[in-house]
Amino acid sequence: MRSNPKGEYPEVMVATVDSSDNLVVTAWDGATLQDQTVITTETTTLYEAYELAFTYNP
Amino acid sequence: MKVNRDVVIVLAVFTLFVSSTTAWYLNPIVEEKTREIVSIIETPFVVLQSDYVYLGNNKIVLTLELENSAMTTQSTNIEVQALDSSGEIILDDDVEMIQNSTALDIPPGGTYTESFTFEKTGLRTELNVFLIILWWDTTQGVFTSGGGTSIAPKAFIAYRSSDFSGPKFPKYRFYDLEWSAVQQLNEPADQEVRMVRSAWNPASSMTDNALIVLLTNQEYVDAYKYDGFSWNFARLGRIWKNAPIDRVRPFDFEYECLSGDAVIVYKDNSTDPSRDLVYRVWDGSGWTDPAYIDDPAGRKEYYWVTLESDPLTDEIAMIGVTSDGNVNCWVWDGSSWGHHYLLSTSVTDVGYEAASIAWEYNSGEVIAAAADGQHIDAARYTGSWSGMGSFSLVLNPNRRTPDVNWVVLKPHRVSGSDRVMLMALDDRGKLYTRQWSGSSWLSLPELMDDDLQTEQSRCFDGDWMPTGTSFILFAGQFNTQQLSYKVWSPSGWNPSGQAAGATTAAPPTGRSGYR
Repeated sequence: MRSNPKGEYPEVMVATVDSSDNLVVTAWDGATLQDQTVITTETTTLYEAYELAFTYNP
Repeated sequence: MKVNRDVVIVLAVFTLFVSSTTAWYLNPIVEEKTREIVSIIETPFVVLQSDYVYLGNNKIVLTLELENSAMTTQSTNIEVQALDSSGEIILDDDVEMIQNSTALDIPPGGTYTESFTFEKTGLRTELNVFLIILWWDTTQGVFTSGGGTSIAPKAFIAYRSSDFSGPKFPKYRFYDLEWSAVQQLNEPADQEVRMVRSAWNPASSMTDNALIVLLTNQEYVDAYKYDGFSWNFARLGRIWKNAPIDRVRPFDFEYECLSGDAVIVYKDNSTDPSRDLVYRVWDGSGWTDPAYIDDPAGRKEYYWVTLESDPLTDEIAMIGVTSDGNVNCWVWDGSSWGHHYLLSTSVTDVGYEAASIAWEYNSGEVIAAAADGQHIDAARYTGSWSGMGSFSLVLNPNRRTPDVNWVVLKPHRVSGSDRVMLMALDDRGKLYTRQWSGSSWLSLPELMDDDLQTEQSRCFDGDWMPTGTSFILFAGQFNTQQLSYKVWSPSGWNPSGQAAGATTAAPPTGRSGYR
């Protein structure tokens, strides 16, 4: 999970892998979770095979 | 005047308008009419804005803003055509990519704004310009759109997946206003991707640079550097011939926050007792030759390596866990590793990442923590290291003694704050938190949940909000399809203690259990 250094939407994004190998990213707008996006349905639960990163663009 | 009733072809050459960012579009318009001569006059509408934005490679959003320049209320039909470099209308499944709309009853001086979304695989490459045609009764105007721009990515995710060309091809997707289509890294694609790390460069002059580093299933460390336009591949080294446990991650990288140099550290594949860890630096032009870090305890096999940059300097802190349970810390001063500190010799289960390190934002000091049975051993670096002792996560000494599997520290990266949140998951699925103020531990460890979905994987994480003093904690509760979360603020956790946290909607895949 990562916090947006710019402080704008999405303030936080969390990437999760479920037990069926789905990699999903969910956005936090400061009050609620929304905009769940399936990145892939074929990742792995065996090891951490993903990482999410915000830019530091001004 | 008598009008020839036969077919009359009227060649009407219009004055064509373009938005300020593009060249004139000068093709004459041929109107074919029957029965009578039709007098066409130019549209009373002026195009104020017609720029478009690429959303990944496949979707483009054109925003059109019109202004009625007439003295009376006016209406217009709108037709937007997507044209390729030959001036032909782009086809999508043999259908012309044209969208139509109508702006009705726009008062004098009034404006009308509408967005038109075009979507087709590879549209970003195929599109040359949009043609905008406005007409109503006897008025007509033809315009070309403004230029296309890309919104700088806000984020990206790098990952392994078996779809598309398979698990040998690292995948990534950019996020601007939404997630882009899947991109693959095609070189060399000779080994399956296993572990993935990624980051954007935080240095102010290089924020469009990024790095993906991965460990392959043949134990090679591969690096893909992104310069804002293209990716550059380098195979940096090999960690071992056969990993003892697939889950372990004996490599990591961080950027120096001022210089933008990237520093990567990984386990050395040799048996040389003075070469326990390798480090290499991306110095702006290439990767430096391998250099080595010597664990003073002799030859050690590292299972976990974690780096953390000081956000205000070029220093980087490192914590590593060896196969025999030692926890070592070092600090990078911008040119070399030093300030070694042995934090612990008794991590209970080295198959889990049970150590973490963080920079206090305001003080520039480091806190390190590692699991030791049910305890957390901690130390602090203030120019030199000092131990902070240990504390138990379990408040009731009569309860079964668990072993902590996963430890994560998250610093509060806000000016003036030295807060750090500690999160720890034990081998019975219990998730604890405790907060460091910068000078002391605040309150006692708090049990957040006593039954997460698994303790074999790190099915929790949290981070501070980018502004303010709130912290959000996510976890996968046992047998709960939704993702659960709680929020900490200075008044405490909400919901408090073990109370079930709020949850998201079911994930779009509809499957249960988070890892």
